[in-house]
Amino acid sequence: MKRLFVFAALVLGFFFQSCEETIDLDFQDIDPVIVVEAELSNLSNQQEIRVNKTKSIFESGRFVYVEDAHVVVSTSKGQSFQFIHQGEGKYTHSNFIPQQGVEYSLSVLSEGQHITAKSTMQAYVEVDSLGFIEENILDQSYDFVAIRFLDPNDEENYYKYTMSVNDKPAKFMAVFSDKLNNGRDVEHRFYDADNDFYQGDKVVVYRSLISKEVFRYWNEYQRLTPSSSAPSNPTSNLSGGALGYFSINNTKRYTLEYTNMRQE
Amino acid sequence: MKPVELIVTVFCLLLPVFCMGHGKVTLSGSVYSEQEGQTIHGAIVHIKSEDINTTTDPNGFFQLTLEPGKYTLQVSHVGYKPYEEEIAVEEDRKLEIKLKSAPRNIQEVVVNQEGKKRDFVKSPQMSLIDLKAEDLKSIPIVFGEKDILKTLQLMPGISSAGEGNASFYVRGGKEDQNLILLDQATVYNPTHLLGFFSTFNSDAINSLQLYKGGIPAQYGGRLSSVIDIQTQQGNKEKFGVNGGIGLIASRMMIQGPMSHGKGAYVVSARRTYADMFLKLAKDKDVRNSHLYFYDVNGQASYTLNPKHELTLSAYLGTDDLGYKETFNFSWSNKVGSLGLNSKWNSNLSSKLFLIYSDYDYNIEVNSNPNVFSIDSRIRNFGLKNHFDYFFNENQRINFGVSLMHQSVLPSDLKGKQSVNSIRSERRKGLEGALYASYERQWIPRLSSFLGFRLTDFMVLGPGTFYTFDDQGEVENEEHYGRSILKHMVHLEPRLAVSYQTGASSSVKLSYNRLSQHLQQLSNTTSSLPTDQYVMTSLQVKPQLADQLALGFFKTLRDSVYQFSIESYYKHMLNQLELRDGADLQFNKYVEGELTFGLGRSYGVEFLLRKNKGKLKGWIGYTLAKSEKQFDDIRNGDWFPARQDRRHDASLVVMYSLSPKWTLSGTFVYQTGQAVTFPTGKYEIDGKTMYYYSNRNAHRMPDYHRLDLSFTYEPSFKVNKFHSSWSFGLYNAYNQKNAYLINFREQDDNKEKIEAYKISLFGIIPSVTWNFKF
Repeated sequence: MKRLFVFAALVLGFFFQSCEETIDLDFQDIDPVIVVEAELSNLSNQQEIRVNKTKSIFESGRFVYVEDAHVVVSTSKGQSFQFIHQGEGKYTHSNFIPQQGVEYSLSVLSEGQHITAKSTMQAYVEVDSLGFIEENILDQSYDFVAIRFLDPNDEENYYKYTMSVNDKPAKFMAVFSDKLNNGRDVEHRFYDADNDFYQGDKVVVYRSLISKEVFRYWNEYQRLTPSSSAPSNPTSNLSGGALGYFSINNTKRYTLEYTNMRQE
Repeated sequence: MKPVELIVTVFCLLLPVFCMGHGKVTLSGSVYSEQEGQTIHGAIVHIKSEDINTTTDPNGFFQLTLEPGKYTLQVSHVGYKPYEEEIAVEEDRKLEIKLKSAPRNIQEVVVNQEGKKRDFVKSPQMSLIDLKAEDLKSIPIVFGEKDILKTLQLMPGISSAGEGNASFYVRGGKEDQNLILLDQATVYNPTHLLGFFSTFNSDAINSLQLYKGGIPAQYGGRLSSVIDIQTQQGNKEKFGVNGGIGLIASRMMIQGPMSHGKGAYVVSARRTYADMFLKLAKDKDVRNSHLYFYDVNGQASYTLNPKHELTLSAYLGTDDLGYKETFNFSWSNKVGSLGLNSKWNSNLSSKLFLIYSDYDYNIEVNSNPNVFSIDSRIRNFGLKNHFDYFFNENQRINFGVSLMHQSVLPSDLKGKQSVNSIRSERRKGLEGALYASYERQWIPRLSSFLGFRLTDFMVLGPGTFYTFDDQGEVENEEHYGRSILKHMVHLEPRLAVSYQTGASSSVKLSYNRLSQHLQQLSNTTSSLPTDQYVMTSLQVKPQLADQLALGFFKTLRDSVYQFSIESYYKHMLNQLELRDGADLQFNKYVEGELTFGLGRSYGVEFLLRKNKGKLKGWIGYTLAKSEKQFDDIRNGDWFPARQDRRHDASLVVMYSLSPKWTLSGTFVYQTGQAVTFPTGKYEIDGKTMYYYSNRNAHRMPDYHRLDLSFTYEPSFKVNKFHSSWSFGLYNAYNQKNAYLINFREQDDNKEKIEAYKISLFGIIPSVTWNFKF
């Protein structure tokens, strides 16, 4: 549906010769806010949590690393995993595979600020088939990755996809809920707007089942549009006004090779 | 005795002092244009020897009380030759007066300015923008069309919601707080094509009144303004066609008499063809797409007998957007009213209306495997009965009753194949109102309107209602059967007073209270036709506003100039905002996404208007502030509302270069609306994210624009084909006003963010050819 609005706006915009231009804005510097990216999955026993801070919007440079935080993940059963700082705000643990049905608690302590969160792993939903589908929109052809499966009827399911092409770092692609197609045969589709597929590309799709709160975060993240009249930070499941999220993912990976079926 | 007369007689028995008027007789009548058979609103009726004046109402009707005797009656109006007649009035008498058109190149000589002064200076009515038929003839042209809503935004106190958005704000209120009535029926979406055009074909409009404050008791239901639009009536004398063909849209109007002059009809239609340009595209799919709107207005009137007249008014407007067979998106307004105008006797008249209005949108998606359709609809129907009792020209009372049934069907999703259906529940309400307003001139200098409106909004079942906790999570769910679940009763005083400080100047004060039971949810900058409506319910409280306004009014040089300064203060309760990240789509718990708070707005408006001569126009300036306070936004501090514009100035000029050539121009300058910009940045998953701290803490850049238009109109020959040309230039100096401001990484340096703006309209020329026969 968003595509249709974009199309309508484009037509009207073309017709009325709209244009884009950079402008200068002057803002005051802000007090930095802590950002925690904590996504743990059962794919391997290597886990990484990143802790950074925000920068003022027109400042140069990408990150302000937090290098002296105390990062611990614990369970209600008393297990405790301490994450060690490896540099550049990255905290790792090399011997931790999260389990289904256990509630994990995150605790990040830095400069007197204590950030906490909780997350539980969801049950996985198996896939029937995966592949590539080509679709033509407005005189351009797009290659989508498509995943087909049967969504379980008796639970709320939330799905997250990231993708890595030719061994590059995995990028977020999309999240879906089963609000509209609970209990049905479903096809999920997504594509990378920034990169096309080429013949012989090695494509790895990571599919995770996530919790409702984490879905809410990524859904707001993917829906951020410039025309929103009241934009806000995606709702985080972290306490204390921190940005980011804490998620225990039930993940499987799927490897595909891209074959170009089009006639050139 | 008819029930209505019984009520009035009982009323008179209880208040004998107001029923004196013995011995005097009533002189009343209707004023028509001989050429077109149209009634004339605002014609001045003057009794020479007595220095008594009045003006005709929107139906061309006037009324005076006199001692029996002989008088010289003078009737005049702009564009017509003055009329004079010696009449003898021994008992109540009703006249029919026909005015002859005056050719345009004769200097307009108006017999007496008292009538104009009466409305502007003497009447307690303030905060009113009154556009009569001849005012509408000379409004500026935008995109080749005369657009009433865009013209209203050139008046102080009314500001635009932004480029490409036909919504507007009145005295700092939100865009859903304006009641737009077309012959008494509510128009829900007054725009076409996502806000670029308004739904009113100005050919079909006879007159309109916009009340920004001092809202009369007969209106209710929205907090900020009422726009009462009367459509043109058909020509009772002869058949005529007029229209225009332009680059973007064309329109045509046909009118004529019915039943040997007992009635008349008029039908007008308009269509755009912006999508004709799509047919030139290379891509087959783009060629198979469409993007258009059309609208049709119809009006018929029929005189049943000397006392009763029947009128029927209808409007249908549809927008349609489609992209091959994959997407189709259409929405439409259907509005109609059936009216009975009655003159029971020389003192009492009434209007009974049966009203219907319906707005719906429909989305169809056919994109394998996703196939579904979405429907949404809002509708109301009911009746309004308005009475006008004229004691004498110093006292009158109007009163009435209205009962309207309101229903809202939020998005109803019907899925096929891979999509489940989500049925949403229809919400219903019944709004009843009783009102009365007593108008009195106590002494020649002091006049007042004392009125009230008593409303009862009834939340109706059947339905499932939810209650929510502070976080917006569902707490309780209850099913109710067909019944009245709750009464929301409000007493809304409508008071106004004017005191004449001099022969042509006055000071006015008004206070009114208003309630509103229907609100729109929107979280985008363009007015999308899919913006949902919510009604007062067990969870959603009714909005309330109190407005106090004070003004000074003066006419200069015999009403050639009108000057006014008005200041106002509005306090609003139960204002609605969406929670951060609100999910509005197919959400039966949508009421939990709402948070409630307070609003207030205040300001000063200046207006200087010249209504006569070769040069006509106005200068308007508003200095205003509009704020909100919500406990869970910005720590409960007052923050600027999105529609807060500190300064808003406009200059409108219409100059007759010669009898055939008219030049008009408008210049607007507005400071920017409040907007939420990010103040920080960080990364998630390797992607740059923007950090938003305070809502509405920043401003869009100032907006300014100049429009020019030339009209060539050769002299009007009676009974011959007549054509004219209009040439327009929108945004004449190509100012790139910001429609949207967004942020992105710099092309050559991903570590730095830059801001950029998107402008919609550069300079746009337009040419329209108008015809009439």
